[in-house]
Amino acid sequence: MARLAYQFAAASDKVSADVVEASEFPELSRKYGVRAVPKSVINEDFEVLGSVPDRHLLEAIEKAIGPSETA
Amino acid sequence: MPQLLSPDDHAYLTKEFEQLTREVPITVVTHETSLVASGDEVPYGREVKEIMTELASLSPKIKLTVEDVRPSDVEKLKQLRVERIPAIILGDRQRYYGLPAGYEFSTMIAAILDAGADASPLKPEVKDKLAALKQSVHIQVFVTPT
Repeated sequence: MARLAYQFAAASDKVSADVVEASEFPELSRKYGVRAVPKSVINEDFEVLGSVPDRHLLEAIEKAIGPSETA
Repeated sequence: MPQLLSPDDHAYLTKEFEQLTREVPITVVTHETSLVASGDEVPYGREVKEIMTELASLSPKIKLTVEDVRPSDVEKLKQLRVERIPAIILGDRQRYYGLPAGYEFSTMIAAILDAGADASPLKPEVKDKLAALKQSVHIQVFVTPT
């Protein structure tokens, strides 16, 4: 999941990807309610649980920002 | 400095990194404290630097920079565009926060291989959609080492 997020960031200058080791940053993990990993948070409020394929992550991004924002 | 990786790991990774066709600049932002508690302790601060230094030693294509920054030096962290440390800067928009150990060590290797490859491994239709984004997207992926 982390690798895919990095690949997304490499493919668009609009995308940034942070991978966070949850146990080392417990406050941040608490803030985003991380109980299982991998957990991805898109633009603060849209969550993707588990490892998902590229298409699924793209759909999650479209939902997070609104489909009209993508071609 | 004691080596963290086994000779077998060294041999395997050296071979893997031969695939790198482009330079991979990596910046480690961390802080190493003395034994005296200073209030600026960074868990795994030294280990992150050591593991990344060892990785970088395995390929001339990996260009490592280490920045020692106190966690309280907010201005410097802002300048480096990292929000917490230890941090590994893999590109303009890619950050790893923490120690890449266990399963995440292979993530780091994969990220280096992707960064040093000529072409993105993403499908063309996915790349096209990403390239057409007009709005900023921030993805945070929470992981654990095991």
